[in-house]
Amino acid sequence: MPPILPDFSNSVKLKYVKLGYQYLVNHILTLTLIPIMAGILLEVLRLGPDELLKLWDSLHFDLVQILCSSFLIIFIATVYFMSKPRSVYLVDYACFKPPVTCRVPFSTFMEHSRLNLSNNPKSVEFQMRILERSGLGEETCLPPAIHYIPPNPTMETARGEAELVIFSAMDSLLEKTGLKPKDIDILIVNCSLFSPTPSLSAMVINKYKLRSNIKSFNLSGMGCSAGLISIDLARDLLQVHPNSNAVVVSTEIITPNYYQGNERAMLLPNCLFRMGGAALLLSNRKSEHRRAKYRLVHVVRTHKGADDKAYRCVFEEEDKEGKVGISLSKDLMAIAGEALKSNITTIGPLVLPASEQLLFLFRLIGRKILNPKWKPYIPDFREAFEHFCIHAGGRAVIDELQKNLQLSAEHCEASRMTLHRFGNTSSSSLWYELGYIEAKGRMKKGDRVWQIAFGSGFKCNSAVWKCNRTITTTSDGPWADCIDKYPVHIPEVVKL
Amino acid sequence: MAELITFICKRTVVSTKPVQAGKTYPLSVLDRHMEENHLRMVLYYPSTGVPTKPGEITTKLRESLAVTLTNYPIITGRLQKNDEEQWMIKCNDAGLRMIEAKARGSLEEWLRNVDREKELMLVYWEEMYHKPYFWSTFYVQLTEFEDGGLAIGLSCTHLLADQTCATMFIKAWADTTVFSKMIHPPLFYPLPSQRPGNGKLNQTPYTALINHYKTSISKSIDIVDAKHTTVTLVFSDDMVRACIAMAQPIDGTDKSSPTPFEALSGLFWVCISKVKGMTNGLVDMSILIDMRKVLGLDKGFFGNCMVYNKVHLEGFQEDDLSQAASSIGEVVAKMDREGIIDLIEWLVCKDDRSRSLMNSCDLICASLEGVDPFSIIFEDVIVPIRVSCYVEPVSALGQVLILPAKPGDGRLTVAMKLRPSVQLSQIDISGHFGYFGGDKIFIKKLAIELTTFFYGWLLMRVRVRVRLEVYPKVGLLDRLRVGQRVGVLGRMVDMVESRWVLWLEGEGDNNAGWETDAIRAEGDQYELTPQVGHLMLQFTDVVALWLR
Repeated sequence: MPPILPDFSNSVKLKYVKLGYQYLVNHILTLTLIPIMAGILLEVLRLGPDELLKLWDSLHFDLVQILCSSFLIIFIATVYFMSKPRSVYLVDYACFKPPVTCRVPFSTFMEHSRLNLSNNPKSVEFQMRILERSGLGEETCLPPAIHYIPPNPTMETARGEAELVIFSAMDSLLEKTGLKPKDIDILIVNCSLFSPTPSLSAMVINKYKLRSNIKSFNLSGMGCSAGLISIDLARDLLQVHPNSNAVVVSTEIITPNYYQGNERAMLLPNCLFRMGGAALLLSNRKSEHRRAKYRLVHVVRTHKGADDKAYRCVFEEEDKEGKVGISLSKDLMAIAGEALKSNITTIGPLVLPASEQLLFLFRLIGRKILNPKWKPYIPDFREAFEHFCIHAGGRAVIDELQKNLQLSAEHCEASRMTLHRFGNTSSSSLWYELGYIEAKGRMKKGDRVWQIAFGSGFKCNSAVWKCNRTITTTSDGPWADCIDKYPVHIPEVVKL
Repeated sequence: MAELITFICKRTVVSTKPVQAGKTYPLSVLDRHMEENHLRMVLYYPSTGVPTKPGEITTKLRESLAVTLTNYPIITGRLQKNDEEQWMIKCNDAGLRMIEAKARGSLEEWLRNVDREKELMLVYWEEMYHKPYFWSTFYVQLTEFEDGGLAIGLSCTHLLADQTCATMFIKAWADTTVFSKMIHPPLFYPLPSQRPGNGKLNQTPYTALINHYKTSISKSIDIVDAKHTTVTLVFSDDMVRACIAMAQPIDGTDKSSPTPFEALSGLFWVCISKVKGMTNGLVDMSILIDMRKVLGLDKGFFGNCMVYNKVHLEGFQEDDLSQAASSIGEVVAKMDREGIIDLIEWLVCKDDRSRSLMNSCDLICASLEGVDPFSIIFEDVIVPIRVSCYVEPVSALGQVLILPAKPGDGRLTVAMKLRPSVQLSQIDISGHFGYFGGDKIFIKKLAIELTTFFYGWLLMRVRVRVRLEVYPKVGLLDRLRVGQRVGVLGRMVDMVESRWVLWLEGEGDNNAGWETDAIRAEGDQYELTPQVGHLMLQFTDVVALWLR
């Protein structure tokens, strides 16, 4: 065993060096301005009032000059403030809490699989292995029609699920925010796999009797990262429509997409996807600025669809028996890694502090000029964000991101616990994660949150929010009754 | 019949909270002895009168069932063999299978024509799978009648629960539905095995009980599922009293009078023996008694606590009911705490892994007086209008279940289940199961029949008198005169409060043509069993013609 003490002291020193460096670079402006200001102040004190008055008189201002220059200042200020993009606020959001009667314990899920796939025990075994390692808990929920033996995915039951999820989320959003349905100007619903006619957004309009001049959008087929696409769309719309409220509903309807064949790659989503949905109120109204929970800072979208492999890695198709399912490719993680890389290279310059950017730049220059074998510098995103919401797509996704971004266990806690409690709820999982952080009472004013979502296409989208006010824990919400149990230990393999 | 009931779906209902992982629950020796049997119960509820959407009640009941199941990890668990190759329950949270169905017509219509095959369509049951780990041990079927009414069917393996237990479970479910809480939560603990004092065996162990189990186990045979028939009789308070008086020992005045169970089981023992052609002595009979009270266990004790015992009667004189009743009484009295604990210990020591069927040979007479299905109220004040109970399979000689009757209808119900044999073919009553319920007219009628029944096996000839109320359309009243008599076999029309009341009376051989089973009445509506219904149909055709 080599002595470990020198290493230890070394690393401690390095830590302080790094901290000193970060402080120096990130506060360079302050640090340079303070001596200058102090110098001027000392000079002024040394000269005394008489000298200053003399200096003023020697400038010889007349009235016209003063008027013109002050007008110019006002004009420039107006132009500056007008051209600044409007701030978009997330007033509040509500997540759907699935009814307890829809709970699917592992044993029930396996029993149903065994009864439904009685002639293919190997597929059942496979599902069991997936489930054991999935990181899901015993309290995740599937829609009622999937509880049937055999499952009964009809249009009616799918609509039933959509109504249950979307309306419950909407109801609780309206109750939370006190928003009147007539005040909704923009409505965006995103649901990837279930796209009926009339659309889900029409369903919402019909239920809540929304205004006739509402701008409604229904995004479908855009996968798990569509939630942030909706946010992006809402932001763009709010830029051109002043004083508006935009409601975004993110969900995934499981009922029509429960795969009933034997293809392994297609059985995977059955094991992971669970019921869930969220409704959000975004606004650019002045009146909402004070009570809004978050302010939207950035949305960055990257699309890898130009690459064939990435395009086909999450693909809805028929299997050999003609049963429709969503096939997840084995390359998924590698492709997700690529998408993430291009996303963080875009978002990095926007959010990272100067110290991290400089380090990144030096390493980049070093790699180009000195030694191409140097590893690229992975910026420390913990410097830029207090909270991370990684799409709870599966255990592997979270593990991979944690490793790549060098995040601590606490940073990934929200994602892991959401996966455990609600499963992969597709585009709404980010909001369950945010809800978790809030329910834990960790969200303070000024905190920055990074949401990263992955989805078919292949897309990696991320959004950055800044907390607008310290959020106190509430007694409602999907986490209210179980937050005390969390975080739980999630074993590598749950023996079923 | 298939189109009468439409199965909507089969699903699994799980508890609202996850069960602690890895929990197991051992089954007692008494449980393990019941492996081959299963229970089925159907409870019928009339509609509340409040119009509901189809499926609304089912959804509500399913939700409360999920809440109830949180307290019953055994029911949601699955069977597994332990290291000693004995069954145990692994509480793996897998859930209880539920079937949702709808039936055409109204509940009243259904009850008018119900028979065994039809009723079994209301209680779903699956035999144990090859791999029992994926087999639900409990099944609940909810059948909503399109024109109002609900049937709740519960079936379960006897390995886990006896009738008391199953009834307590439905009661807990009902209480959860109405009051959102359980009044009698289940208690899970092992049977008492050790005497409170030293662990020494009793000086004079009650060997008769152990011997009965010993011979039953060695004799146990596979029962082929032959058709059997059920007669249900409702005994009013008066009738029970009369029966007790009959069973009173003639000479012995010092003895206390027999209990209702002793009197009635004695009565049926004697009757059935006679039908079976026993001229000397009586058929082999075992009684089955709930031992919860004797063992000092709570009513909520979950598991089997019914014990079989043989009744003996030497030198039986014909028609001496008192002899039969008193010998049953003696046996009941001997089954005390000590005796049962001896039996349990003996069974534990014997540790027999062979499958046994306790109720395979003798005529079984079960006392289910402790079971009170009519206290199970799901909606405000609506009590079940009928409850049927099956313990399957039925032994070779038959089975008599003595249960409480619906309050207001009578005191006790006797559901007599017999397998057809040469002798019994004469009284082949193709109705079936036990309706605990019955109407007052029937009870009155039965009182007369029973007397004959006892002395001369009346069921070969049955006389029925039925009151039929007709609500005539406007205009028909003019054509009918109050008190008009229709001159066919005992028919008579009365006018009661602007309704026409038709008294019908018929008599005939009790065979496949028209057999009497039970008639029951509820308010203004008269429901008839197929047997009486058949008779009624003949009459009503005449009446319809006549009214036209």
